Amino acid sequence: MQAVDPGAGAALQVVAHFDALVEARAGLEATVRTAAVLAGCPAGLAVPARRLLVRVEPDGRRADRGPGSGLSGGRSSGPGGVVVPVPGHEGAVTWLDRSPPGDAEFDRVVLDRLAATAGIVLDRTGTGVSEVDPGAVELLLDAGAGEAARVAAARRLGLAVDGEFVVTVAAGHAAAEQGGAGTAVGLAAGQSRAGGLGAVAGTAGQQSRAAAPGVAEVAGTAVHQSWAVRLGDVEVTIGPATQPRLRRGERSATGPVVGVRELPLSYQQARIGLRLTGAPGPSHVDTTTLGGLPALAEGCDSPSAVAEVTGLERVTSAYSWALATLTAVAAESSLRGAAGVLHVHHSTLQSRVELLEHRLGYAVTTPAGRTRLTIALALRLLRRNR
Amino acid sequence: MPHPPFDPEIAAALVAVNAALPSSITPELVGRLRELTAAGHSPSLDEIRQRADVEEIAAGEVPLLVLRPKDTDPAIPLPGLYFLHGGGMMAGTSRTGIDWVLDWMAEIPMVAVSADYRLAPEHPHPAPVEDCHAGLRWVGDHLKELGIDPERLVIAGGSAGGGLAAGTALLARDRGGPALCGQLLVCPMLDDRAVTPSSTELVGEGTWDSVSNATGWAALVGDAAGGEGVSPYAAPARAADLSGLPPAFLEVGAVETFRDEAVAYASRLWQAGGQAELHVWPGGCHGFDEVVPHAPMSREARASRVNWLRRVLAE
Repeated sequence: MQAVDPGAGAALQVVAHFDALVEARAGLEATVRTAAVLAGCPAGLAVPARRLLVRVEPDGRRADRGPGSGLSGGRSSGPGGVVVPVPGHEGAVTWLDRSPPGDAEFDRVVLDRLAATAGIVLDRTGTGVSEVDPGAVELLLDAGAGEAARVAAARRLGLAVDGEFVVTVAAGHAAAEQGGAGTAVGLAAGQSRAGGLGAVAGTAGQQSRAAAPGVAEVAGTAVHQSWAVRLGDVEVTIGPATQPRLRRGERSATGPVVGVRELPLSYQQARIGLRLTGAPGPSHVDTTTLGGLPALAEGCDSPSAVAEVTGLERVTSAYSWALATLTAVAAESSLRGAAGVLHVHHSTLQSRVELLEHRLGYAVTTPAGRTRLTIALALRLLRRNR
Repeated sequence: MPHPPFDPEIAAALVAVNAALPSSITPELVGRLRELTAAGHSPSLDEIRQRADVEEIAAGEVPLLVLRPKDTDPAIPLPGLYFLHGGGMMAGTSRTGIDWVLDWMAEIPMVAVSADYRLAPEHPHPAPVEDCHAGLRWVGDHLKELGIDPERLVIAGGSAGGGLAAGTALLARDRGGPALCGQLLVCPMLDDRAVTPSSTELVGEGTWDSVSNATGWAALVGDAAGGEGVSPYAAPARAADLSGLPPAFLEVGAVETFRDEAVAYASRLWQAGGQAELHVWPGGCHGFDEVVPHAPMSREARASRVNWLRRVLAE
């Protein structure tokens, strides 16, 4: 294979050669090399989702950092010259770095074939933006999996192994629709450490293909990806700690900020947090604000918990307004504040609270009573939301 | 017959290669082989002169092309390399494949001599290998004039040239010279018998398949191919004794007709107490480094040859 002179037949030759590469199942470097050699100028491919940069000189040598990069590190050599996106892979681009510009028509043919072929290779190799191995995301969240396996999975997904992340779990209709049938995975958002890049997808339907980093950011900057996967009836998102907390689905909860190795912990905490959400209480919680409350999850099936929740539910089932009233009383700093939240007159609330206290058998406005009520409400949620 | 997979980059390039020349070269295609060899792998004298001082010598029985690094003094002896081109015993000239030699000379200043041996089928065995040996003998007799250090002369060749280099090394051993300090055998054509698995596993695929090989051997030794009485100087794999030969470098692709015979030749050199370096490149077809010259594996293969030359020439 030699550089072909632009002219009659050259385009056909280029197309045939890339077709042959596809047929032979050549890899990304061989694909980029073909473009560089045929065009006689540097060619490149950047795939932010895989933190991948391939740059090849016209003599076939791989030179990701470009010419003249010495021990000082050199300038990272990202996309330059004529840039064409890789079809079907958001954020991925290919380029021919011809300077001065040559035969634009010929370059266009080479570049189009490079982009199309790279797209096919990315499809085939399976961890691209559109085809993520859900198993890799699950592995990241599985405390039982070996640490090495989890770190490898993070690399495969393009997550910065030294980065900080937050796990968000979401339940409810909106979350379910996002995921679609079965196990579905999508790129939730791409955001670079440098910030200011693609918008974080926060609403249903957008998240499977959201904006990816701008091309200028690709080469040197760590690209932090978010990944979403459906596990059972919840949608789990692993996102960078710097990313605004997502509120998704009808109910959601975020775990603490952790490194890749502690992702199962953040996931576990978020799942407990999710059990503490639901009307009439908050629909979204940040578990780091809950203190020791999540610890109740371990004891929610103990005899004392069962008895306490049974007592509470006997009362809440008697009056349609009881659960909302008790939740507001436990959450607000005063009965007047609770009345405001409940949109009832202060005196109405006063008489309802007296009735509920009588039925419950304890005062809910004393400090000790409020604590008991708060714990009883939490135990109820933990027992109902599994 | 199963065979290892081609490297994907090589497989893609083979599509264009085989469009120009089919994998299976039958006797009818020898003319095409000659045309393509002359057009594609044989730089003109003017092109060669840009990289080296060139002298054509017709004094001996065989025309020789002598290449000297530019601006070097013949009074100071350099290492010498005697080169035999490829072309299936049926094609090529002393200029065929000379780019390899010029690349080696750029790395290691040395005098190279390429022989224009006669070709089969017009000139069957023993003409080609005898020509090669006659040329080597002429070089051996004129080392001083050529500016070659007598202690540092290697023989080298690719494909048919590799087989001829091995046969010439046997002749030099058996006829008392000239002394060689190494034999560089790149994907050499060593065995007419088609007895190894690799010699029959490629049919209509790759470069120089089993059909081409049969055509080449029939051209060289006629009906005797594969039977009794073929000379080991024609088919060095047949040599009963491989002792007393210079250190060898053997290189093949894993997906080529010559794979197993080259591996066997290296093994037998070791077993005979000789020195051999063996490279089998995964996914490589016959002559892969010319099919995908830009690929990393091709660079590695070329670098391995230069590294070996540096060692045996004790630069």
